[in-house]
Amino acid sequence: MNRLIWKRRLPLIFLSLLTIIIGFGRTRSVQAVDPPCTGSGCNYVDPYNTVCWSNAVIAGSAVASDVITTNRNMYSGDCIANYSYTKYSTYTYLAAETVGVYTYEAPQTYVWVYNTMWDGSGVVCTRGHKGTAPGVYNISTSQICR
Amino acid sequence: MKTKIPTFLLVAVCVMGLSVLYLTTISASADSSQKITSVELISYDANPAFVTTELCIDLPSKAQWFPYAELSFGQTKITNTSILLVGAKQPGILDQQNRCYILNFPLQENQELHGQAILTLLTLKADLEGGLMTDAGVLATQKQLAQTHPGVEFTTFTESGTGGGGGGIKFTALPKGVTEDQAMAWVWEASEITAQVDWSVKLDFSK
Repeated sequence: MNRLIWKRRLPLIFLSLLTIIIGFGRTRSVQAVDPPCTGSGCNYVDPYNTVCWSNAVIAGSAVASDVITTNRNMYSGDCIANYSYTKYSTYTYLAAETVGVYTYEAPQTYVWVYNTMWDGSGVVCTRGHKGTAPGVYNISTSQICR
Repeated sequence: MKTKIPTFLLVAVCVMGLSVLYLTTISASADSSQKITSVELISYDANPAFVTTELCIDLPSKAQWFPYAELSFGQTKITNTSILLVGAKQPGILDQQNRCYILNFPLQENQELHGQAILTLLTLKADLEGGLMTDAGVLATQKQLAQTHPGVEFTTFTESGTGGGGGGIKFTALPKGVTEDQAMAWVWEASEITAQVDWSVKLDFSK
């Protein structure tokens, strides 16, 4: 008799556990994470794998004359910092520049590149470059200042 | 009688859990509704290098949408090369579904703009759940690609270096005859959501 009751309940128990596990997973994914730095404390800090990356706003975007090379001025409100993100449609030599501060020139071909952050409490300008070798760029986007 | 209360509890947990899943699924798929209720022209201006316009748009969802437009005058048609989100540094900007954008249209040297021009908002684009920059976006793109181009499977990577980093797309399965460049175009296509727009306005530059 007890076995029969448990057999009937098994799908319900399974479903309950499944919903709890999935619900827990979703709750975890929206939990707040402390920023690794804020403002000038973020100067030259790598945003990747931090909340500065995952919660960033695309504050502006510019496309170059080839209509493919795109630069995004990324702003993280949690970190009060901007960084530059450049992408292309396939693997090529790319650079991500924060104007007047620093340009990350990728040493190998990538589809997207980014640079380290800069204090976002003021206006920060970014632009992107695409070329044929590291430091040799023939396509650039206009500046995006946010 | 002893068995009825636990059964009721189990059913209640199931109903609650499924309700939560249903609601989160609705909010996750809200991007696909892609309906624009209004567009408002705030200002426009021309200088020798650029025509600049500001538009406020009721967006289809809270995704990070970006507008793409065309400016036509005479036989000339120009698309915007940059987009600035107005108030991008304001807290909670992404919670607003009405956002304003400044669009820049580059003018060629000696390209004169007199009289009337027509500004047409062509489309809105956003990264699918964060696009290829986020794990959730990559997963969503993989699912989308499985529907649009079955047999094309990929992963992404991003690696940090000194002063920045880079990443790319790696294919784990490709149908015979499909090149990586072709497949990469499909991945980019699958990583975006678009909303078509039918809105235009006349701009007067005769003054």
